[in-house]
Amino acid sequence: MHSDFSTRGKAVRESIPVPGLHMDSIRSRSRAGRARGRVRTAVAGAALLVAVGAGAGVGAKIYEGVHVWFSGNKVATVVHSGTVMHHPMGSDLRKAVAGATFPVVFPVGVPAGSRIDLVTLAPVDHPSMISLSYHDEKTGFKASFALVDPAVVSADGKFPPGLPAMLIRMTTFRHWRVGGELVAASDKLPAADTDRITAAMMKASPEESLAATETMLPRIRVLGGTVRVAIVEDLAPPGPNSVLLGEEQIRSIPSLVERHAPLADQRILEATSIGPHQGKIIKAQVRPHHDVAVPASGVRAIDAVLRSADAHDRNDCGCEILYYQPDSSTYWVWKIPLAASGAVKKYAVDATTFAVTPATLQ
Amino acid sequence: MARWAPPETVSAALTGDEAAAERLVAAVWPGCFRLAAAVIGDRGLAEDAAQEACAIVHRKIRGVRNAGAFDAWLYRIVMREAARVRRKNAAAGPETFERSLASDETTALDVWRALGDLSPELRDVTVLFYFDDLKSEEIASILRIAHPTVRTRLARARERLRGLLGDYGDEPLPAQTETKLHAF
Repeated sequence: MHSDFSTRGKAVRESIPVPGLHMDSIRSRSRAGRARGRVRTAVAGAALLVAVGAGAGVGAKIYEGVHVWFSGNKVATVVHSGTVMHHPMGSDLRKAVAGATFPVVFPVGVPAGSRIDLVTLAPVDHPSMISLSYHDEKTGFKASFALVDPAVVSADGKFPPGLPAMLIRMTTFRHWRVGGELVAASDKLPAADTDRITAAMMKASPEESLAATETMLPRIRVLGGTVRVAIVEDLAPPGPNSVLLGEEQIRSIPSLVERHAPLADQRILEATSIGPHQGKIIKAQVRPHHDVAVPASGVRAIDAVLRSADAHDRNDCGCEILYYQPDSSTYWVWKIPLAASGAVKKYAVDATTFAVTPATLQ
Repeated sequence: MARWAPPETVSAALTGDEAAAERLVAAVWPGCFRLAAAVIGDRGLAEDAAQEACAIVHRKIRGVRNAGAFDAWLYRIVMREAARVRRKNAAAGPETFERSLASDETTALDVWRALGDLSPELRDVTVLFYFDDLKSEEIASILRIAHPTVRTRLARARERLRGLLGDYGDEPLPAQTETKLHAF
């Protein structure tokens, strides 16, 4: 029976008609999967951050957007939707907080030199919770803050019945109130920093705190997961038309050129229907924004630089790429070596012929 | 273990070249679809599982440590995606196993009928063992279950199949299959 079943089974399986392969669908699923991975990390991080102070009790009602419960040293968070912003620029943050349900006072007095690389907002339309991650490469300073509308906080000491256990965290936080918002930070933040930041926030208006925060955001459009933003920002004019590409974007260039496609800006993702899945992971519908960061012709210019004699390997240049179009006839492309000992090189690319010429660094 | 794609195609994709990754996806697509179809029993669901598996290949091929690890890695992905799709479909209603995936020939009907009457757990090990010629140790690694569990499931599947495919029972077992059976 067995040999016959095996032989016949193989023959039958091989005779199954195979549908055509839709590479566009594969690419789309691949992008969505990458985005899901980023959101899973970000949402889990945001959920870990949130704590409460003396907020308004709202019983067991689960809000459509975000809700936080506090009981002893345990914190539970339910987030139904959210926006995740990697390397947000000032314009992204201003637009995001314009619809917030509370007067947002951002952390002030964070050590000079700190940068913000991740901001999450929940829910999508009118955020009631905003979290920000700060770091300073030179000093190793790291901190995360959650800013929460007190109206979405329950501090009556009870979790609602039926709340999934995965949402209950044992992590402890420091938390304080500034005007109309609750501020929470990990208890790993030194007390001296907490006291200084609290005092500075008390004195700052929402507008002043936003202006101070904008100085810690990238001044150019950062698509790649780079840590060299501060160095690169001085090379190109500030604004979203200066685009920094990391390894992932550089690897996609040959395929984009083949399809005459632009490079999309997927720094901002919207996640909806967030919830526990099989008791241990967070499931969400994810929709990355698809603004054009580099038009198809600009992608071709970058490819020309990667193909130039100076670049030894088109797919592994050991570099990051900075792109800018100063006028309609020229593209500027900078190759920024990942090795600290390497020198930054700038190229001018003719917008018609795509001829590559070394250019002088300013 | 079976070859999903020529080694040079796998090696080229490991370098991270996007076009090479797409060539690899095109090469593994038929195998992914047919394996998913055999364990799920539904063309539409199999296409969903195979597409997701290929998207994972497209996205993560750079992370595979070497070409030799690719075959086991892809088996694991396809079986996991097939299980996911099957679970999702089970939530929507009772499972149905399409009994005419290949054609209306008697042989095909017999095979699909036999697979369709097995539980998903037994069907997975049966397909990998009898159709893909994998060893029980390899199946254990792919499905992330204990080796004795694979052997138990194969034994149970064999009992079921003996009853379902009695007409084929008189044929002698070739040496290769004897060896496999002794592994139980």
